[in-house]
Amino acid sequence: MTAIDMNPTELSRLQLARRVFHGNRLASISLKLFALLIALAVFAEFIAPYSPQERNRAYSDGAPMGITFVNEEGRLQPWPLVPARITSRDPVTLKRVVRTDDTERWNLKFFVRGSNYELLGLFQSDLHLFGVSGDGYLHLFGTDRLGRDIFSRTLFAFRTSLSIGVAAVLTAFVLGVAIGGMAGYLRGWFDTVIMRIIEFIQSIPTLPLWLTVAAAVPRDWTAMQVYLVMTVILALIGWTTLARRVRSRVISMHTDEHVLAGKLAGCSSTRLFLRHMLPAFTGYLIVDLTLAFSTIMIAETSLSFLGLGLREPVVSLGVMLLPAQSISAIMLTPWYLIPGLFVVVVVLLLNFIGDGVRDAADPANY
Amino acid sequence: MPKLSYSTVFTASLLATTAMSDQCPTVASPSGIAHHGLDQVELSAFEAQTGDSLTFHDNPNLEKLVNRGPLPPVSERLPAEPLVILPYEDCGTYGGEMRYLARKLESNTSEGLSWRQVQLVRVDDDLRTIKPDVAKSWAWNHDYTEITFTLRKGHKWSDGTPFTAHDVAFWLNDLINNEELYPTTRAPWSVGSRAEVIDEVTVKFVFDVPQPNLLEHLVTQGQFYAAFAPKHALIPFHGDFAEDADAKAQAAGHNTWADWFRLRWGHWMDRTTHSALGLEVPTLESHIMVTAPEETHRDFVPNPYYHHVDSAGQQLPYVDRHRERFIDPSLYVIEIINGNVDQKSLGPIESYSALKENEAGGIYKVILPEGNKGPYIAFNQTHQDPAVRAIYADVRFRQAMSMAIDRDEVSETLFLGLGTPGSALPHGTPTEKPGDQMHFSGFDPEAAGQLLDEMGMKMGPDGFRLRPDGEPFSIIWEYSTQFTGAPDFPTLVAEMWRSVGIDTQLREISSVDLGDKGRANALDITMIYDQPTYPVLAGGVDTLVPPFHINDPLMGVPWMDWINTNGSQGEEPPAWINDLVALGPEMAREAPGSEAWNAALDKITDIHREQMPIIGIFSSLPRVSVINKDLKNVPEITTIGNTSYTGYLQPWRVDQWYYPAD
Repeated sequence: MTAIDMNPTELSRLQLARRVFHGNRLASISLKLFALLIALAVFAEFIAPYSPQERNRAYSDGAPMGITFVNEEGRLQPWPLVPARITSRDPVTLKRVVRTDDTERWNLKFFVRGSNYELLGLFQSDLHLFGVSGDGYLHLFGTDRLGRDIFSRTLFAFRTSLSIGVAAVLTAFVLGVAIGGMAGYLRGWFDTVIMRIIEFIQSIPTLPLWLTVAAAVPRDWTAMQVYLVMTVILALIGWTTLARRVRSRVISMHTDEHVLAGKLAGCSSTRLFLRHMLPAFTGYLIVDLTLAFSTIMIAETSLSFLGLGLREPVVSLGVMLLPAQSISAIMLTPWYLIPGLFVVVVVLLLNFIGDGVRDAADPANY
Repeated sequence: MPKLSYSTVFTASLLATTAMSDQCPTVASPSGIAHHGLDQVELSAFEAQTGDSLTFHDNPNLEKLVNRGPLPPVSERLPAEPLVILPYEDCGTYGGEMRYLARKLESNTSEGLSWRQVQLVRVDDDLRTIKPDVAKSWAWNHDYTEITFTLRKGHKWSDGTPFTAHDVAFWLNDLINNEELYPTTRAPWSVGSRAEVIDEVTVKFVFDVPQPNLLEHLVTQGQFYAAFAPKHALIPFHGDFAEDADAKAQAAGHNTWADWFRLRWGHWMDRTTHSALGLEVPTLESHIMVTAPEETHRDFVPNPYYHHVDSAGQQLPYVDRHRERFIDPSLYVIEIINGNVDQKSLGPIESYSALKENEAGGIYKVILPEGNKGPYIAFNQTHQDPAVRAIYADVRFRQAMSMAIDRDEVSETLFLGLGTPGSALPHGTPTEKPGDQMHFSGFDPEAAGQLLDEMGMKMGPDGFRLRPDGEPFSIIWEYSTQFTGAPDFPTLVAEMWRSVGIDTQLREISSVDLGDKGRANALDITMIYDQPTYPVLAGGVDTLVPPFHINDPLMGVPWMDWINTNGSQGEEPPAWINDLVALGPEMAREAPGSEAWNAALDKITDIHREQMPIIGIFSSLPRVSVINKDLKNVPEITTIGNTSYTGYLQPWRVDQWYYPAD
């Protein structure tokens, strides 16, 4: 045993939880990766070499481009290079053909000047994390049909999907805890009414609901307005499961000794709930939160993929996956699916993090 | 195994060919036939020139294929004067099957129909000359209000019943002009027209107003509307002829005789072949249906009474069987690559690459004949919101939006670089002026921005221009990929519009919804794809005058309501619309290509130059098409499906295509 372990009482609850969490390697790494992804999304304008709508005419439907350290003479270099591309049309099939030019390399550069942007609505800049020299271009994840950089678009799309997730989850969380907690605490007719409402909401078949909503959206709404409505709707559906869980926990705790003690000591209902009940199931709430987050991200992706959710020019992961539906896209341009892999990775990370947090929030593990 | 000497076979086949070509003048070697470029000739003229009478032969398999018992000899089945067809290369051999693809049984399969269609007249492969077909000859009166057709004596329907002038008169007087069948008249030139039978082989059409472009209409937009119908087979079901027609129809589960009648005959030639009822309705086409159509396919065999013979006296057609299969269009390319299709033209231009890649190992060759003009965009100048309407009705806006489109990039990115950038103005006509092709169609975002500035559409804080009244502005572009040519076309164009500051919101909806909204005047933009290229013959004018489309209104629904109801409904159109509406019929009354016709077209084009109601993207875009490479007598196909001046394969004479014997 280490010295710290010998005197655990001097550690705060948060410190204890953090230690347990970091003891879970998978969760710990996942959290770091997720933080990195969030940073990528927040600073997308700076990190992405191109703006989401910028088209590269010379390289539409282009495959992902790699980085090499071998120069045009075949020698190893300490700095990264990008083999130049020559595009032409096959004279017979009229297909666009891309060749790697062995005689030319584009230097990978950091902090290059590119298109103008406004970061976080605060400052204007044209500085991008990386780019290539001269007339060259670099598309790490390839390009789509119109020649737009899939890497850059994925970052922006991730931000959109992420912000939908955050907004929807937080709304659902507040609603779920407040309504579920009240139902469990107050019981009686309030509980009955709330439970019937939840059952009603949960009985609505989702796909027809989406179709109806999609049809009901006024034609002159911008993609941004559709985005907000989608967030609200995802939240309005998302709170029900959480509310039920919170309610059952609260009911089961009514007769717990520490709650009774609190009552006898004359705690107010709010204090009793927030101070004596809520901490006991924070772990469950956090797990629920992370799971809900991934569910909502998948929901946005699926809806946009079906053409019911967001639309161009908004860039979300679902919007980006829309053209990957056809068999020819999967055969000829498999890199269209990269945003899909992104969803998979993010959802897995969130599940690992949730797993770690649950353990960390459980006092039994301290 | 005894080895056959190659030289023996070669000599034998060479002899056979020589022997055949002696008696078979072709387009390639018209030995003995004097006229230059001739591809068909009447029997009497043919015999006079060769100095020999032509002996007729027929398909040895015919009786088996038709499967209706013994047939009379070929000389009795042919008209007294069959039309002698000079094949392009060689007189062919009988046999083989041609396979086609279509969406579904009920869809009007123009291309498959064009394999077997016949009309009173046909258009030659120069795409200009009108030539005899079912009619042997015709004569106009001095002011183009009467045309007299002379038919072929002894010509018979596919059931052996004589085809006479009564069948032609029946078609116009009792079908087209029958108000129970057609509450609104079908063919524009049938208004105030009637047919008079002069004798068994002579029939006259009489019109209230001059119709000099009737024949051009028949080979262009009227191409699939046969101007005759089998009277004997149809009158038992026609209310004017059979007293019990209604009763019979009701017994069969229909409300009126007309309902049931329409299942046997429609002005669109294909209609009859949609059900087994078509087996009872004879035709003059090269192939006939002898087994009921099924959901998956429809078969045709040679018409034993077909009126064409080749220059060696063999009755056409050569090919034993046509099979149309009905499958989902997304499978067309794979079916073609798998060798299951002998001829087909395709919509999406991208399919070219896949087809071309597999061409070497396939049974087909890919051709790129001239098609139409690709996607067209029209802004709704009668938009329900007055502020938006003011913008769309401002010609500067349309010019700006047109110049904001980089047509080269559209062609390169979405159309394999095959589209020739151009405006929607008629191209290739005698009235074309030097600047027409790129009229406000060159990529010039600065000029576009200037025009928008002039309109008072200032740039807003979010990088998008505001309406002149300071409110935010967005184009709501609802579209269906059926009319965009390439699925990403609206996305790309919207991006280009956004970069000149015009926010464009896209929404993909179904074709049906799109049509409904268009007719309800509830769209910002309407689109069409594959609009005819130019009005060389009669048809093309429809796309230049309101409502700018053959079927659905492209624009100006309230204007058309106003015009059609003489001002009691809808909205009064601007003067230039009224001018176009007046010029359309004016042009139609003139003989195509005449000076007066050109003058009218020039006036129409002038209005288009000034008002730019339609934004074109390409002045021409080829059509991807495949054809079995073994087929012989296939000429160089320079255009397919260009409805303004030809009907799919009509000029390329499918009835003389053949498969060489192995």
